[in-house]
Amino acid sequence: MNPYYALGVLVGVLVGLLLVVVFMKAINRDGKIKTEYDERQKEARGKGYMYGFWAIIIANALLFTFSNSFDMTVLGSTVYFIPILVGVIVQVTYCIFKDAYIGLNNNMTRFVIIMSIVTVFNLFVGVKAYLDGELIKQGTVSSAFVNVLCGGIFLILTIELGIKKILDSRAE
Amino acid sequence: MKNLRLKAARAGLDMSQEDLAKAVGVSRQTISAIEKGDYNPTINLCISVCKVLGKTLDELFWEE
Repeated sequence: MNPYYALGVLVGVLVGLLLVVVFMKAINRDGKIKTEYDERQKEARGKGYMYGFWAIIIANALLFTFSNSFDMTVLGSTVYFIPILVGVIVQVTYCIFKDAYIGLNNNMTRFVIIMSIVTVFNLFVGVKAYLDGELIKQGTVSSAFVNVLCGGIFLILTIELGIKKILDSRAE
Repeated sequence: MKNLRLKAARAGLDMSQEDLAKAVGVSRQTISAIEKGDYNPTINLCISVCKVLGKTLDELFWEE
């Protein structure tokens, strides 16, 4: 492996981790990195992880089955992200609708703002790559396609949080 | 089964679900789920709720 590439990956991962820590501290009212959940939320989150796990297994099995029937070379290595993203969507969606996604020490407004920033940033990278004609190179999608997928998922989750808030306000 | 005794005890102290939730360290939705009978709380949470509302476990959680 090219040492410059390896160094770039390492720096990228470290910057990513630093951003996660900063965002986690920002969304928690008490400034802690860890989000606190009560016993019912922990139980619901456990079930969410179980459904997410099975979703990944099923998505992988479907991908494996259909990879023989359809040409997926256009997706390149981003194909490996699809089952992960499916699992994340299932787990988070379950938690949102079971009131187990927003923790006891989370600030909902800051949470939605940060989700929106991450959504816009990811979609911006994807749209820019598309406008520059770099989303698909030599018949394979570039890494910017992962940003499009992530942006799409964050958008879905932000919309789900909005739907849940509307449903809660109607129920009260 | 709905826990109307919990709801009545909370209302008797003029507490909202949010107030009780904060006092026992859980989310408002968890108190709502207990009152609706959608969630069966652990003994630790039952004890915390009883202490805050000044009731016994029998008075709030024992099913006849």
